[in-house]
Amino acid sequence: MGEDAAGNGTGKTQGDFKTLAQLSTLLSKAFAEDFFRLLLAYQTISASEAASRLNLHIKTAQDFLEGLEKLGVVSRREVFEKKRPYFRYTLEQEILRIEFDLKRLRPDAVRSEQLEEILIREKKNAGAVFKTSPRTGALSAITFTTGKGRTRSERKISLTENQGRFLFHLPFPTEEPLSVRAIMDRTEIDSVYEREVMDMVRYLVEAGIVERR
Amino acid sequence: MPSANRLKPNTGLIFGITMGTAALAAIFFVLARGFLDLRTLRLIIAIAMTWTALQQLIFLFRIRNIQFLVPALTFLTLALANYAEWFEYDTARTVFASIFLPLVIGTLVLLAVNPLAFRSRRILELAARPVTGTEDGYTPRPYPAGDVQASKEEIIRFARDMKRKLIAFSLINRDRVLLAISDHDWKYVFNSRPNPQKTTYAAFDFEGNFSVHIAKKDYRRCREKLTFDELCSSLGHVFERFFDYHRIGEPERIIEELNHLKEKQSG
Repeated sequence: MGEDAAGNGTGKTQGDFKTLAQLSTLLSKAFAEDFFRLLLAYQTISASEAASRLNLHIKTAQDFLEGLEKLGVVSRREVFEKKRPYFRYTLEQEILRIEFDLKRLRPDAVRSEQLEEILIREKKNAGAVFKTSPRTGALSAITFTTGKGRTRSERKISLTENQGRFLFHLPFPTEEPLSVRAIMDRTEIDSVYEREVMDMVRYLVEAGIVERR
Repeated sequence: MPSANRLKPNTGLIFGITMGTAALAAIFFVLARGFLDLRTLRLIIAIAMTWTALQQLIFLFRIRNIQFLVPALTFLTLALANYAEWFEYDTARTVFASIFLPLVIGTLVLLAVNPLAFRSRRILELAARPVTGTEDGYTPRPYPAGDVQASKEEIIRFARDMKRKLIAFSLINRDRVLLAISDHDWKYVFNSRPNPQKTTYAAFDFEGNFSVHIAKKDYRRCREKLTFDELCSSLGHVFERFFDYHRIGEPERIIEELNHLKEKQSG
């Protein structure tokens, strides 16, 4: 969790997306709001005390507190007062702010040279079925199987209009491969859709539908 | 250029003859055994002929080819003659029987000169001929075959003409025209929404782009595993050529080219 210049806990999460997801999961619990009221009221509290007060199973309270502890929202210390040692939790952050820049997830920008270097065509005997719109004939989806034997499963990928146009002109298995740039030029797809097209190309290469040189 | 007959033999005709022979044998058997009397058999024939006549009329209206009127009248006359026999209308029976023979002769002459059958097999053969590669590479995707500089009206006229001339069955919708070719083209008469995955076709959109698709069952009819993109490209050229013939006002060259192929195969 973040800290301001004075070292006070600002409650600002600037971790990775996973941290953000974990905190959001905890906060979305039905009992989360009541739990935080309890943490604000008590100096320290144990999982069993919280569970009994909120009418929760002790494991539920324990998991919640451990999750908050990992994220630095609460701290804990081991105490040896009773028969067995246990943890007591203290709220450390009285303000929670969640901030995450989604641009960090954006795929790397496609370099112009990449579009010309990457030569692709459909892979022979890939087994994919390309669904076409009965009205327009455009490619609208691809269905293929993944896995083998008992783990075999069918995947259906819906295509955007530009992806459909791109794949419509993907060279056949016995044709000479073409560069991504050449196919995009042929289909007059605007460069703003480069990431979208490359995302599908990468995915289909991994799925074994498209062959890359 | 590779030799003629790039497609496997057509087993449909053999099947048809076998079934017809079996049907005749069955009729003689039931008559001989007395399971049915001649009068009842005539009624069955009359109903069957009525249905066949109706089919021919449906073909006439769906395909807009007036030649279907001849077999339609022939079957209808045969049906009426048998109904007349059933109802024992002697005069009617005589009338129908007397006009039946000329109609039959007319039908046979018509079929000899211009068989009422779609020429799907010849189109596939025409496409397969120039292909030299045998790398297989089948894919169920349509193949972008190029574009034709044509208006929507020209494309629709071409499509309708292809259907009327029994070259390919045209299916016209809001965005494009599909020219379907198959051994069983007649099914499109009753079903105007074929499964694109299972249909061999050439598709023209109204911006002039056209593509072709070869169904797996039709690809399997080739004697060899022809290089698939070459075969698709060739089929595209065939339809491009047909379109050009039509556009320059020489549509008869399409039939000539297909008939010439038939002569080569027979010769």
